[in-house]
Amino acid sequence: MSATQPPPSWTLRLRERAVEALPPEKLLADKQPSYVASWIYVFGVLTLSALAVIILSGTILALKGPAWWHVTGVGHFFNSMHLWSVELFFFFMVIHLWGKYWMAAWRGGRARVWVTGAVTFLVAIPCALTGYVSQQNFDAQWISTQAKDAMNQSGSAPSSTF
Amino acid sequence: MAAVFNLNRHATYVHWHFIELSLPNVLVIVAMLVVFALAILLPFPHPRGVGGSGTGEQP
Repeated sequence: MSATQPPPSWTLRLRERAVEALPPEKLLADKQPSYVASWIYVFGVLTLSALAVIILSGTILALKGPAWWHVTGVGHFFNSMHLWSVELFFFFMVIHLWGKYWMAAWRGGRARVWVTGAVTFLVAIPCALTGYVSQQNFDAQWISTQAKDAMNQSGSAPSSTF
Repeated sequence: MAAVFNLNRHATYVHWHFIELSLPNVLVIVAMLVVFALAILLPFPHPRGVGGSGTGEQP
């Protein structure tokens, strides 16, 4: 008769995989990686902080609507908060991108982090155009048609929609 | 800010060959270059008694 083996259990397998991926000594770490001690890294943190404010203020704007953000005092406040958080987001992101690009920061097993940043940059540019449209004035109309023309020219949007 | 700057007029534009940028955009680009240079050149503060090396790999 063979030695008794514990029956295979999905909870055991899950726990072993979780401990292997995130060992306890790496959770709530008391030492930071060396690349954290850099002003360029700080600008990455500032970029994500600005993004959090963008999402929060943008969600409130979307729920309350343009009749609120164009007219009321609180609406103006959130409108301005959304604008300036976007301005800071791009400011911080460009500085972080320049630094990380010239540092070749995709090395050392951080390729996925680099790809995340590149995708964020590429998504942020067309998203910024939607912010211009939220002004709902002649500038917004002009910028929306120009942006649509650019997307048509790049082949990334169906030309029949405009 | 509107009390300091007159925002009810067209922006001043800078022309250089085929490049045409509004002055506010030029100022933002210059500010980004200056802040980037400072971020590279200024030493990052370390707590007393703690060296620069950590557990990770320097990029």
